[in-house]
Amino acid sequence: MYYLKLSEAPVRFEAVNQLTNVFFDDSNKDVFAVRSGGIMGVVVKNANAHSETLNFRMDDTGPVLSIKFSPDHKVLTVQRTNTAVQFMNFLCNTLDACYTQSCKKNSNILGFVWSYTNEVAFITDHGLELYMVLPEKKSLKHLKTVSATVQWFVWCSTNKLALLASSHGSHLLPVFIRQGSVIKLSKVETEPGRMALERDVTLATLYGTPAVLILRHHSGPGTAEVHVHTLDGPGQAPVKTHVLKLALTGRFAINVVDDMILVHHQASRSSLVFDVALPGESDGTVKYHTPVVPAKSIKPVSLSLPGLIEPQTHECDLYSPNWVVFQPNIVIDAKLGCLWHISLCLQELCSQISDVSICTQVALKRTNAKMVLLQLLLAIVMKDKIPLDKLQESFNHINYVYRDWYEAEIQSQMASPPSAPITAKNTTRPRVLIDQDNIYNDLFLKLDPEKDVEKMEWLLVSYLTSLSECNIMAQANLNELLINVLARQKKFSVLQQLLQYGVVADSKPIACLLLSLGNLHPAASQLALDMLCRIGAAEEIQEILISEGETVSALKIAGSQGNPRKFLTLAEKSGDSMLFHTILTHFRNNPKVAAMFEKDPRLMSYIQQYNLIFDKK
Amino acid sequence: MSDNIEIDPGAARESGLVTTDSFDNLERMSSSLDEIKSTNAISQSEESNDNANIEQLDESTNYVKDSTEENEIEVSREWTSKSKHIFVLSQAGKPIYSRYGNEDKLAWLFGVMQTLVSFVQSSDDTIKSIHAGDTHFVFLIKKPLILVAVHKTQESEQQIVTQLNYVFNQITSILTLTRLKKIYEQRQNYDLRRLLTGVERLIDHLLDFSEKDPSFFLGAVQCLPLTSSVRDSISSAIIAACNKIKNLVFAILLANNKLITLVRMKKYCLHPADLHLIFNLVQASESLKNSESWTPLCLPKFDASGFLYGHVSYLAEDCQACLLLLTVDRDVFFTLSEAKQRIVERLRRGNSLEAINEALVSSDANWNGAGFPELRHYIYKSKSTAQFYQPPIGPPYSLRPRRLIDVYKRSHQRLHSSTRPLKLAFERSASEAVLAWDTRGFELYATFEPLTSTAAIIASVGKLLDWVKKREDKLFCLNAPTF
Repeated sequence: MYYLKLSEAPVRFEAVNQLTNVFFDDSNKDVFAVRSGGIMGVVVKNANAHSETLNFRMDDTGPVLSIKFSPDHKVLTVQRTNTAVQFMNFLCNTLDACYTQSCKKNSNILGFVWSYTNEVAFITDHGLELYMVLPEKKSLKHLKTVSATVQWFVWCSTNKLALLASSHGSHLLPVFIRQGSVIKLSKVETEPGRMALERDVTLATLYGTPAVLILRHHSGPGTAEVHVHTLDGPGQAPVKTHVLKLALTGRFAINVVDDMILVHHQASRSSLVFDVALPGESDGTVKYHTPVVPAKSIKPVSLSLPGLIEPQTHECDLYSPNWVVFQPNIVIDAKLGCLWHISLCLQELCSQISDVSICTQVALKRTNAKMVLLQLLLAIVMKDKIPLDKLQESFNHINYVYRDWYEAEIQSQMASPPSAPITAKNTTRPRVLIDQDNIYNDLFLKLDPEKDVEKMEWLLVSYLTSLSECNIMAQANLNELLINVLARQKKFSVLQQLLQYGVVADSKPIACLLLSLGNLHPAASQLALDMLCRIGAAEEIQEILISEGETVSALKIAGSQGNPRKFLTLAEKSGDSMLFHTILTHFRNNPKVAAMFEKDPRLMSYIQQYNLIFDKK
Repeated sequence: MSDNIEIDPGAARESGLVTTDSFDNLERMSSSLDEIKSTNAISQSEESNDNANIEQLDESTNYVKDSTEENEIEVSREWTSKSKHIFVLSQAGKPIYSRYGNEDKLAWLFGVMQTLVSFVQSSDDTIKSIHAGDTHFVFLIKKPLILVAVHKTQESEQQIVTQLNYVFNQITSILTLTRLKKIYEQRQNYDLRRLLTGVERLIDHLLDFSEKDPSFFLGAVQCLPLTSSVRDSISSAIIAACNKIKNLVFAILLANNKLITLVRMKKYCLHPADLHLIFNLVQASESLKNSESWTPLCLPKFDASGFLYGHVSYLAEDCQACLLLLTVDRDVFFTLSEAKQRIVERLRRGNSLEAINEALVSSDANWNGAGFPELRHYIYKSKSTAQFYQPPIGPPYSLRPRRLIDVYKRSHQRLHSSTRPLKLAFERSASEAVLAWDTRGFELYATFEPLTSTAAIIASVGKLLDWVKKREDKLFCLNAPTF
C-alpha cells in the first residue's frame, strides 16, 4: 500500500553527459537540454506534457550558467558570465537580435528571474536590480535597485517571492517583486546565528499563503525538524507557525502536493506526509506536527526502454542521489532523463489513518477527495461497530466546511442596496463540499432500511446534531428519513421528544408525514397539528380538523375566514342538531356574515332548515 | 353577609324555605308537629291509630303482586343496558323497590347487595361505593333500609347519594319514619311492599323528575315569574282566607313545578327537599286535577315522625295552579275547602288568575333578545332564598334537554366536590362553553356558544347579573309571608 506515486508518463529528456547540460527553469517548468553550449542545439521540454517541444540552436559564447525563457516564451535569457545576461528574441524556433545587460559595477550576478512578462530581476551579491525588457528596441530599461548583501537566494515564481540569504543563511530576507517595484518584508525570525544552507530552504504555498520551509538539523539522533514560516503576519511578515517533527536524520527533500508537505528521506527511502491544517500540539504560537501516517516509500515506478529485441523495463531507482526536487511537486532524475510529478494516492492515504475524524479533516482539504471521503464514511458505517463519537467529529468537520460555504452563498445572494458597489462573487467552492444531499444519497440510502434501521437512527441523530451545531437547517428528506426510521422501530416517545424540542424542524411535508403515522401512533396527528400551528398553516389545520369531524374546532381556527356555506353544509350533513345550531349561531352572531345571509338565498335555506329542526318541538 | 343580600339579585332577608345545603341526610329530626299540636292543644289519638293500621295491614298478607309475569326475563339485555338502577331493600335483604324489572325476580340480586353491606358492617365499617370501570355501585344505608344505585352516568357519588336520599324521603313521606322503624322492630322480615302500593309510581316519577330538573341538585326551587304586586296580592288573598284557621302550617300555591307563593306559620320554614316531594306528588297524581283531595303527608325534613294533612286542589278549570293547604288537624277538610273557595274568589276578583295563566303561557323567551346572543342558557341560584331561576330551554338543547342538565350537574359537582371545591369553573368543549361561579350570595351556571371568546363571556356574565338584578322581584319570591 503506497500513498505517494510518481506520474506514470514522465517527461523524458536527454540525460546529462559530457556534451549535454540539462537546466530546469522552475518558473516555467521548462527542461533545457543544451548540447555543446547550444551549438548542437537546445531542446526545451515543458513539464506540462501537452505543450510543444522547442528546438533551436544558439551560438556558444561560453559555458551556460543558466538559461530561461520569458514567461511568454518570446525572449530567451542565457547567463554565461557573472556580470551579464544575454537576451535573445525568440520567434518561430529561431533566435535573433542578441542584446546583453550587465549588472552594476563590482557586483556578481547570483542569478536572475523573470518576475513579469517583460520584467527581469538580477540578484547580485549587492542586492537586486529590476529591469524592463524592451524586445523591439533590443534593450533593457533599469527600473529599480534594492541593495542588500546576498550570498544566495531562493525564488518562488508563484508568489513572485525571493528569499535573499546572507551571513551564511542566518539572515533571510523575503522580497516580493511586483510589476515595477520591489517590496521588502521583515526578515525571517530564526534563532540568532543559526545558519541555513540553500538546499535546506524551500519556498512554497500552503493553503494559499506563501511559506518559507527551513530544514533544521540538530545534533543528536532523529531530531531533524522542518520549520514553517508562513507569511501571514502583519504586513505579510513571516511568522514561525509550524514545526514538523521528522524524527529522522540525514538528507531530506521537500515537495508540496495539494497543500500537504512531503518530506523525502533519502537514507530510509521513505517519505513523510504532513498537513499543517491538522490539529497538533501547540505552545501558543507554534504548532508541532507529527506525520499524518507512518513513513512510506513512494510507489515503485518502472520505465519501458526501447531494447534491442523487445522493450526492456527499467526499475527506476527511487530516492537516488541523482534526484533533484523542485517545487511544488516535481522530481527530476537528471541521469535518467526523467521528470515526474509526484501525487497523492488519497484513498490509500486515508485508509492508513485509523482515526475517522483526522481522516475526514485530511480528506476535506484535498482536491477531488469528495468521492473518496464519502466511500470512506460508507465503509465505516457499514461496519458492525461504529465509532460514533469519532464519526460525530467527522460530521462536524464536514459541516464546518459546508456551513462556511453555505453562509457565503447566502451572503452573496442577499440583495445589496442599489448604491452598494457591485462586488465580485468571491465565494470559491471549497475543495470538498459534502452537503446534505450527498450524505443522504451516498450514506443513508446505501444502508439497508430493514437491517440497519437502528444504525440509521444513530447516524441520523448524530448528523442532525452536527448540522444544528452549525446552525444549518436540516433538509426535509433527512427529517423524513429520521421520522420513518423511528416509526419503523415504534420509538414514538423519542419522536415526540425530537419534535417537541425542535430537533426536527417544522414544515408542512413533515407535518403530512406525521399525519400519515396517525394510524400507528395516535399522538402523531396531534404532533402534526401542533407543528402546523407553529408554522401558522391555518388552512391545513382546518382541513385536518374537518376530516376528523372536529367541525367546531375547525371553525375556531378559521376565525372570520370560515366559509359559511362550507361549514353549514358539513354541519347539516353530520345530522347533529347541536352542531348545526353552533355553526349557524356563530355565523349569525357575526354582523358581516349575517348581512350575507340576508342576500344569499342559499344561506337563507339553512335558516329555514334550522327553524324546521328546532321549532317542531 | 347583609351587604351581600343587598347586592346579589334574588337575595332576601327572610325566606319561607330552609336554605341549608341539600346533602345532609335526615338524621336530625325536628319535632315540629308536636310543637304545633301542643301549642294548639289538640286531641292526641294519633299513636294508637297508627298501631291499629299496621295490624290491619298485617292481616292482609295475601296482597302480594300477581305473578302472571313469571316468564319475564329478569336480566334481559334491555334491563342491563339501563344507565341507572335504583334498588331499595330491607336490612334483612327483602326486596322493596327496583326501578326496572320485577323485584321478586331479582331476589337473588338483593341478597347479594345485603351480603355486601352486612359483610362490610361485620368489620365495623360502612360500604359507600364500588367502582368497576364505567359502572358505579353506590350504597346508602338508612336504617332500617338499604338503598343502592348502580349507574353508568357521569354523576358524582354525592349527587347519587342525594338522589337515594330523596327516594328514602319519598318512602318516609308515605309512612313516617317512626312507623317505618317500628315495623322493622317488630318484624325484621316484613315485606314493606304491602304498605307501599302505588308508591312505586311516585318513586319512579321522583327518579325521572330528579334527573331532569335542576332543582334537585341545586337544593332550591324555581318560582313562577310574576310581578311582585301580583304575587303580593295572591299571598294576601291566601292570608286573608286562612288567617282564622288554626293549625294551618303551610299554604303552597304552585304551577308547572314552579312556586307561586308559600304562606307559612310563623317560626316554621319548609325545606326545599320537602317541597320537591310535594311537587312530585302533585305532578305524579293526575287524579288531583279532577277533585279536591285530602291526603296525609309526612314531610321528612319538617318532621319525620308524623303526618301533616293536606287539602290539595287545583284553583280552577281555567287556571292550572295547584293549591296545597297543610295542617296538623286530620279532620278539617271542609274548613279548608271553604277557605280554598274564598281564595279563588279573591284571586278572580283581583285578576290574579289571568296573571298566573299569562305567566304560565309566556315562555319568557324574549330574554335572548336582551343582548346575550351567545348565551344559550343559564341557571341563577340565590342562596339566601333557596330559589333559582332558569329561562326556558331553547335551541340547541330543546331537542335534548337532558344533555344540558348533565352539563350543569357536572359543573355543580366541580363547585361542590367535597374534596376539592372550586369557586369558579370554566370549561370549553366543542359542544359548549360552561361557566360555573359560586359566591357567598349566589351560584351561577351559564352555557355559551362554544366559539365565544373568554372576554365576551366575562362581559356577558356581568351583564347577565345586572339583568337578573333588575328583574329579581319578578323572578323570585322575595317575601316570606306568614299567616
